Amino acid sequence: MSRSLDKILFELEQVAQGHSSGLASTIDPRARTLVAIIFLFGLLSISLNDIGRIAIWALPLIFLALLCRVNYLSLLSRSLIVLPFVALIGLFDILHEREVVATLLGIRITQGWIMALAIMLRAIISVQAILLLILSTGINPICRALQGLGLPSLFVLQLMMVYRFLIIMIRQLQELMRAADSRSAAKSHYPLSLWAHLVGELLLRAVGRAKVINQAMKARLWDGRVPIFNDKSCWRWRETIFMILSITGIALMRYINLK
Amino acid sequence: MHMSDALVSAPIALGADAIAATLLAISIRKIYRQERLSIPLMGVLGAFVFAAQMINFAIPGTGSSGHIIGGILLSSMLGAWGGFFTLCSVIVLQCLLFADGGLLALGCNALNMAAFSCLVAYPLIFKPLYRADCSTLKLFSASILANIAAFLMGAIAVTLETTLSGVSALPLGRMLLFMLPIHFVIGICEGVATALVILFVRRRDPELFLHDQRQSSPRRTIEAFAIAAFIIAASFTLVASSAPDGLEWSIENVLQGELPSPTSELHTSAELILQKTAIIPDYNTFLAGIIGCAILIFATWLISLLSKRVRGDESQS
Repeated sequence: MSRSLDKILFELEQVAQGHSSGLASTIDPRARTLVAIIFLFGLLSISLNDIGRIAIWALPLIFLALLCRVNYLSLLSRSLIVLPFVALIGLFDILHEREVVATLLGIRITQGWIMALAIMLRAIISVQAILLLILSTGINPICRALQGLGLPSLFVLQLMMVYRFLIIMIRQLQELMRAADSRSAAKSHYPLSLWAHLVGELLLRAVGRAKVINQAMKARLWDGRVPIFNDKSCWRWRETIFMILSITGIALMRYINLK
Repeated sequence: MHMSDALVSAPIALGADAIAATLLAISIRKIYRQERLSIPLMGVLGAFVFAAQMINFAIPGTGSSGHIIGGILLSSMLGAWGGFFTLCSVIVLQCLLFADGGLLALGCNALNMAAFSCLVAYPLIFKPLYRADCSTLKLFSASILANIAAFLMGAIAVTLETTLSGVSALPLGRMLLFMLPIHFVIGICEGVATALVILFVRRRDPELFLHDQRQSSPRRTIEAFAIAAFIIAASFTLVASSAPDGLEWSIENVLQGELPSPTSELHTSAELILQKTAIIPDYNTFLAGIIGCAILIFATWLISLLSKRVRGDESQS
């Protein structure tokens, strides 16, 4: 368990600032976020029967991962997290749609299998798009971008606070679990009574920390108002060109059928 | 229960995003109106929920494990809107940091996981039943009932969203048959886990759960359930199946035909009475559900009024 917490801490630190290298890093985060949203809308609008057309949408992600110097294989492995729940929904299609649509090497392929595979493929590609955005941009620039796109500043502040305290909370959790594991053979999951003690203790520590932070903020004359990012970056020609090129590419993938 | 972008169509995602954004805007207005801004507490508690979801507990007798989601727990400390606001921030960060749930499906996830637990189950079930000094049994009952309701509503919403998106080919009824029992069990586990944490923390720091001392009256809950009953009765009778119910279907299969009508005098006179008293035979109008609900509510109200009077008379004497 503590090894998986280490891995989570590593991943959190990885996305703290994002990969600042690569050509794409010079583009404003607002433009990148907008393009990611348009990409996802384009992907979702493709019929689940068109599995080939859905697969093509992975190609620009591989290209962008190279451009942003993000390891595509790690992106792929991290995107598999989404599979269990999606596979459950896909299973319903396999059970219900039993009409045979093709035969491959003597194996009858049903409509349900095509739909299930299309859902899983669409899920993996959409998750990769989000991961690529966050890994190439970083959490703080994304929050700034979301505020620039109209998200209320209080919610942006909340996102940044949760993110900041998350690392502290996970370290606290590691301490608690190390203590629990040293007193019982380290288990992957705990009996309910011990679990309640661990979570309750974590909650008390969290509230204690919140009180200290509140006092520190008041000591710095914080009056309850939410600070607004003093973002000097402005929308330049390169962002406009990036948007036009990306939207053209997405439209081509969406509307041109190579069959 | 995090929904990926692949499970929703663009119109459904946009619709859910719009509803979730409206609820979020209302929650922000409510939080700004609070006398004491609890932003640091919300930030740290958001991180706490995130971290607490990483510890799994063993589910007795199943060999599997689960973790807390935290909607009712957060609401009991921050209030319904504060809990919703905090849980939404957790859902957004889970999407951005771990790709758990989709970017476009954020609205769906906020509704399924945060809105139903914090804005429906907490104020209508948990809050009227729970008091700071209530017994352990009452705490467990409130927590389990509220969490079961939240999970079942979430499961129904997931089913509706995927079916309306055209992602699942399975009919709505059959998919609900798969989803509801699983989420009922998850609701019980979440309820027990939430109650255990509240019990532990209440012993150490009782003030933590005293943020909202105004006890909501059970009348509000009754009104909400009455409205829900009317909505379900009015909408579901329109889409109800005309096929025979389970008992009729099995009898027809066993007898290879319809059950013959009994011919005894008693049966005939009973049927005559029924024909005279049944105002909507065979539910043959969509108003049947609404009229049924109204009669039932009226009858319940009448019985409770009479029992109150009887109890009043007994105490006077």
